[in-house]
Amino acid sequence: MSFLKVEGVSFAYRKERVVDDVNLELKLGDFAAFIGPNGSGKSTLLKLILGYLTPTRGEITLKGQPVADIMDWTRVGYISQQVKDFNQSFPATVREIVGSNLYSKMGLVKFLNQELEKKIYRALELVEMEDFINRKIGNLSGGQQQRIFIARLMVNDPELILLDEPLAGVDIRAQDDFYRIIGKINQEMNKTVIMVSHDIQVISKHANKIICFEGGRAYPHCSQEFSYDDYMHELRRTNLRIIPRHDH
Amino acid sequence: MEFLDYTFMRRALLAGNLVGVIAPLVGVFLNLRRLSLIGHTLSHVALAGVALGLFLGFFPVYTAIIVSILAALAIEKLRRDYRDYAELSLAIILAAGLGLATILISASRQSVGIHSYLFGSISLVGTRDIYMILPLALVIIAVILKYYYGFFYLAFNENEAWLAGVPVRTLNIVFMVIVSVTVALAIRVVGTLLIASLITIPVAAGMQVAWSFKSTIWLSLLFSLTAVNLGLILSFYYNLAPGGTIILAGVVILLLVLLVKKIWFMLRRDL
Repeated sequence: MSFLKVEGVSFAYRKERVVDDVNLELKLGDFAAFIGPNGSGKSTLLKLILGYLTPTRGEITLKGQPVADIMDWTRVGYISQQVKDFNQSFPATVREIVGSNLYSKMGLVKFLNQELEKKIYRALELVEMEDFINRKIGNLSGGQQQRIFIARLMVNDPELILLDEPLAGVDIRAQDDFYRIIGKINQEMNKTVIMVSHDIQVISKHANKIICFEGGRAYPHCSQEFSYDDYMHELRRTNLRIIPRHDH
Repeated sequence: MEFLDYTFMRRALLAGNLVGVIAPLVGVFLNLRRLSLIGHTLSHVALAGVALGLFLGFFPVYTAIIVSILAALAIEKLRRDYRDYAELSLAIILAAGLGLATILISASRQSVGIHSYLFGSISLVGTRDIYMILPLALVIIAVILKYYYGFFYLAFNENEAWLAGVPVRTLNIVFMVIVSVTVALAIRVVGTLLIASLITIPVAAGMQVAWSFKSTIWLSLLFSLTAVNLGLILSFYYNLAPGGTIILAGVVILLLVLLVKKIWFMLRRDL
């Protein structure tokens, strides 16, 4: 049984088809990259998988269960493009930010207990930020904040991890750290990861599946049909539009 | 401690301290969500509630609570429907509240009593006020403790709170109700015109020196209770309007905090 199955999924926004008949299958432990130009439907598909949007046609299942029926949202971890758009002077520590994601695991009174504190510490150890537990979130660098948001997601031990352009505006060194940590989560913990990215050169070194998007359609395994140079050549030639060689 | 010999002063201090706890407690979440204008709007609507009570001959605090809860729910609805124009809906409700208050005050024969609701009055805090403020303040504290991390998530990132399983819509409504009750309860002590300041100023001071969310709450409580007690005692000895004295004490605390912070940074830079 496939871990995640997207079958004939379409989604229209104000009568405009943003996602058009997408079929996709991922196995447990896959690291899939969604690449393609802006407005090609990558982020929308991510939101459909998350269950935030409902497909106008088709079905998405996670371990055989339709995502629409999943009530426990913490099974899927998600980092949005807007995650960095918070008030940088917000007076909260790393512990409080990561801990707030344990809301559904808190008891009748929504506070952290010792067991949840341990989960926070372990999540921070995973992203190598445990020494920063009492630091204010706004005092950390962009790359460090990105790792805190991964910890916030991992504190719930999700089965599927969705990352929407998490590296926009993050410097090269922080990007390396990010891929190392995501690689650890993907390979050592065997978590399935989907990441939206513009940088095919870097992500193709890490992901085992590359899915190209163009005009709302998805072209799985496009990396096997395109070499990286072909792909870049096509991107330049077609003014940043992807023309796949075959329709699947 | 001569002021403690007077029953009215003991009542005023009890009411003042209860309001001094709930105002910044609600205020921390309200200000961090950049919704402090809601406190200001609700205080004007509460004034309409007071005027309605005086006009109809009911206990004005009751009508103030009901009218401000209704207005708060309306604001929450407008805030959802007009996401990009939230301030506009606040401005409209504020104006409507004030307009209604003016008409009701002029129509009411008891317009003399309105003065104490505008500026607060310690001599008028009665036993009935205490019976009202005490249980409601305890309920507000209990609600905030119960949903602490839910309100925290809404303050940090309202759009993504649902990802953690926070019941965003329900908590938003619960929050608006406790804000409106807080505003209505504070009327007796600081008056409608100054409630918004009691919700804002201690929190502004707390945020300057806090090192975490929890410490922001504790510091805001400390500054608020200092301002309330200092303000009430000074207004007793010098016969000043209590609301104004409390708020000015809060402003002085804020200025001192800013000054101490500045000196601290200068010393650290020199080291």
